[in-house]
Amino acid sequence: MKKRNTIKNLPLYLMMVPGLLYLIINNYIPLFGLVIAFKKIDYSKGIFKSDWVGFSNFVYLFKTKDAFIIFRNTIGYNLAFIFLGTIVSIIVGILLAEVTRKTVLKVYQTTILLPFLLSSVLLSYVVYAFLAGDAGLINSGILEKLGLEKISWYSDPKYWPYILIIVYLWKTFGYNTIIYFAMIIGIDKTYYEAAVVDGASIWKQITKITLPLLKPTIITLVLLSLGRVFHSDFGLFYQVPMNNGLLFNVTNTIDTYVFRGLMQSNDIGRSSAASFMQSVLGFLLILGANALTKKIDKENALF
Amino acid sequence: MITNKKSFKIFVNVILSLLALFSVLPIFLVFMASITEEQTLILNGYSFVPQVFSLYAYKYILFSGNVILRAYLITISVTAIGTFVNLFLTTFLAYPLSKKDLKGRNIILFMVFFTMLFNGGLVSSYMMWTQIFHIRDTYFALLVPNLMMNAFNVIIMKNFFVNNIPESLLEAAKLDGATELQILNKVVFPLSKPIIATVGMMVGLAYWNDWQNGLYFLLMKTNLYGIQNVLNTMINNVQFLSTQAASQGGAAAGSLPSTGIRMAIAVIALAPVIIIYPFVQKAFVKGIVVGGVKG
Amino acid sequence: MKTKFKKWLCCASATVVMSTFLWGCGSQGTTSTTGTSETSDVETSENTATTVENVSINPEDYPTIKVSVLCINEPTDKATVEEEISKITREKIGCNIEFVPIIYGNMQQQMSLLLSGGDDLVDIYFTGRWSTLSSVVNNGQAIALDEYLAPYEEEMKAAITESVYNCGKINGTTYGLTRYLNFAGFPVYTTTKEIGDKYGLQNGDAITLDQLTEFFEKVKADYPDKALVGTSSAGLNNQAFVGRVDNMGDPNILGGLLADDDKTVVNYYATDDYKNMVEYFKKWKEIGITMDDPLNVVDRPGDYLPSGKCLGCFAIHYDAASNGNYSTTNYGVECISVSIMDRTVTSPDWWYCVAPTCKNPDKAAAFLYLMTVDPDIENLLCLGVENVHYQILEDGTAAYIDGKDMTTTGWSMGVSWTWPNCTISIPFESDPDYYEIMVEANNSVEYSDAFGFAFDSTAVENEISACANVVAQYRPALECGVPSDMDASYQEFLSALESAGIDKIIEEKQRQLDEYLANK
Repeated sequence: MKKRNTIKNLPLYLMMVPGLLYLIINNYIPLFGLVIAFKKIDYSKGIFKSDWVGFSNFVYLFKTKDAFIIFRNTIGYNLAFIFLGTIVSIIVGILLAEVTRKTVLKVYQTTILLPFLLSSVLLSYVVYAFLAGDAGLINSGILEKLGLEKISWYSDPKYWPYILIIVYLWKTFGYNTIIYFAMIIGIDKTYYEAAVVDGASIWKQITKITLPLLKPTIITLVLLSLGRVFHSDFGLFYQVPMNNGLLFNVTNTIDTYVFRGLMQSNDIGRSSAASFMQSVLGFLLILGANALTKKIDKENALF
Repeated sequence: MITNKKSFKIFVNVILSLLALFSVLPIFLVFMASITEEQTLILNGYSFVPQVFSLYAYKYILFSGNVILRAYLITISVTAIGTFVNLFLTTFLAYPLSKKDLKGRNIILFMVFFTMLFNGGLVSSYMMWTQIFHIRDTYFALLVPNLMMNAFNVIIMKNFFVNNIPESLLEAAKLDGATELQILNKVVFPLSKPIIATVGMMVGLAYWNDWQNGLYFLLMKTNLYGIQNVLNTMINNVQFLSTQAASQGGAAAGSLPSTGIRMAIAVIALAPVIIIYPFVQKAFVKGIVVGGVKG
Repeated sequence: MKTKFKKWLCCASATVVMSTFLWGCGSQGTTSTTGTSETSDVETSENTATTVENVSINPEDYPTIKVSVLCINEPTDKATVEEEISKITREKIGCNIEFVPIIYGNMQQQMSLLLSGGDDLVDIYFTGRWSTLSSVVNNGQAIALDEYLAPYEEEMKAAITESVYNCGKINGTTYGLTRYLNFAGFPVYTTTKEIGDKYGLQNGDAITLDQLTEFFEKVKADYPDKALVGTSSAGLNNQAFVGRVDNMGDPNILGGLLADDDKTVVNYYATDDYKNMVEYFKKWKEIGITMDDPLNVVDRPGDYLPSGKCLGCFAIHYDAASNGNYSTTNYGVECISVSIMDRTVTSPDWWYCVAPTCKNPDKAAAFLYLMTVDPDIENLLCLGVENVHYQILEDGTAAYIDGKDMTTTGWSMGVSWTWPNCTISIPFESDPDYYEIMVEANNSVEYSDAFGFAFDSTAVENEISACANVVAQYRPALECGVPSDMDASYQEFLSALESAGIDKIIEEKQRQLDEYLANK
């Protein structure tokens, strides 16, 4: 019986072969590079013959009192991004699904995606165009004209948590929205028809039909982003604040710290160590979160 | 949702229009800066209405080596081919994984998911691609590494299949004696248009935005550079000229319209998307999902 | 139903076919790189046949040395320059030269991949900006050269002085060849000639920091709305504006040597010299010499001069008058520069090394030698081919061919400072005595015994990473007078450095320096 089942499913297994093959080549073979984190690389000996150094490549990450700040910033911003990003994307996704005219829909879809196409260097120039001390639009175009005092945006850390969150949302909300949008318009229309017959209001339809049906997607996406909670978008935290020392308390993350510290030394052992640590911590976090999900809602756990 | 309330429709459109403006205005500001004369920009600041008009930045970009058009073509072809192959790999992996009773499903899902967290780092994958597959300085360098399939997309596509394709339809097809490929083609694809279009769009964006493959793998063949690599190189050049200290000799950099160039580069990277995106999306939905649309 | 599937299958197979086809194209692409060099070889064997009679071996039979060249675009005439240089090298040292172009903006990534990927794409490569000599040696990415350089050593020392030659040594072994460039520099202040005339400053004047401060006060009183100094994200200048200290090859100066004591490594930021500088920074802050938000500017410090938004900027140079002339051509307004301190020696920060994968290290070393002493080679490297890439003007200097510039020329020009000894090449787009002044300035200062000492940072990498973050956080802001309480910020800076472990770095540096001096 069991065996027959497997044979019956053979076409399904065959379908997966190309994709899995790519994963093995692209993602699994290069995993041998993880050993770099535990070695003192000497290229004249080669990666495999270089000496093992245990965990000494990891030490520098925890060396200073900055360690607390960089971990706090990395995790804090990511949690804010996940929370706000999810809410905004769901709302916009629901609204988009209400647009019936194809051309109008296309205009909305295209425009909200545009910011996502800016590379982080260009993104930093866009932000600069608004916030520059002298020439920025907000200072020279708005505050000055209103007779208000100019604000030195780049010199004051207190603004930056908000600026970074806004910039992040500006750049990514369109991208995340289209995922939810696709899930929403994939929902069977008959659910809503039935609800309308029962006299459900708009709000009821959203809370009783749309959101419950989106739940698996939301859980998956949030779980997946939790795995990246120790990584940070280098461009957002390095280029957008223009590597400004005054802002380090609120902009320094694990990735920017590693970059600044290793800029000159070209030391892949220690940069690998950092990314290995980020992966392991993210992995543990996701395992925990997944186990929790499994307990509450078995269906929607990742694996 | 279903509603007849006019006020709700208006509300929806107002909010979305505001969001669209919110997305576009900063880019419009950048566009205006790109056609403002450099010294005016420095002196008077950024503004939605350029006081002194100048196309110098565009002239500088377009006439410095005539590479923009070629780069566009390369990027467009890489994006088209890459997106297609990627969708093929992704759907064919995601569909079996959506079967709850498939043996080994959890292991494979975990395998897919694992790649989202762990990677061997740049050096090892560079060594593999260049020494085993010899893709350095070939067109393939832009196409194959990292972008051809993405675990994230596999997982959301699998989720869509699980949640939005009614089991009853699949069962019915099976009873009719349809093979898995036929089911995929006749039942799953027609119902999955939204997610295929979405994943396709995300993959397309990833290819369009990619500069890393070009940077890592195209060393002696910069004539294979796509648009992002060309523009990045240009930005770096402006930066390079500006850090070149007087004491280092060599040629004077001249007064480059550096801010203007940066802004114009942003515009050049975005313009085709605005122009071709609607067409691409249409062709895309039609072409790729055509199989099941009309039965 | 079937037709739909066929369509899918068609599409899929079409993609596969297409990709195989493209794959083929791609690999053809790779072979064609070698193909072009062959064709150019053929071309030149014709050339050489007419010019040199006693060619007994085929050009292809010589080994090829691959040399990295920094550029801003992949040079279109690479093959031409390669061939011109190979003509000389075949005759003198018996090898061909091939170039590996490295685009500036990609330098960091590409150089580290090139040297870590384990393949032999490059034989001679530059180290600088993207890494340091001690770190490539540490990583096993550079081979010891003494044995191979031995026949040329004396001649090279004569060309670039012994102390400069020794800058390529680590623990007594030569791993690299540094470039001979300006080692003696001072900060200069540049302003427009108009302002200079009005306040009595001439191009090339030497003034003190007090005089400069006084000048700032006067100008600010007359032009209250103008900034006096354009800044950059690195502070008052793209390079650090720090005063008279030998940074020992580390731009962050985590341990440096004061001008009057070249044996003791000190934490420069805690010395009276730097305290003194901070006092000036405070005074300048009160006067208000910078623009709003000085650390966040995307333009060059000097870019604000033409529009008149800023009246001046700082730079580091070895000769104030030259810097003034340079600024005039560069910014399009007539400028003057004045020096504001005495010259200080700075350690070299750029080397040429030979990769461990190099199959003919003797030839590579021979080419290092030629790059140091042979003006023809140096001209080809710096300027390309005469009348193709550059022309000689009446005053004997070189200039771009009419209508060409840095971005449109076929060779990587305008980066002569990257080559080992540009002083033997023709001055390019500058004064005829450009290099003479440079050499003179270099000879005008006394080189300390520590000159050429290269620090091996392995033992204190963690502290260096931490301190680098601290310096980036505080120094540029202090220079530009951004913190509202300068003294408090300065104290924070010092204590942050201390807790990041600067003392440990200094201790290690001192230990290595003592060893170095003892072995000298």
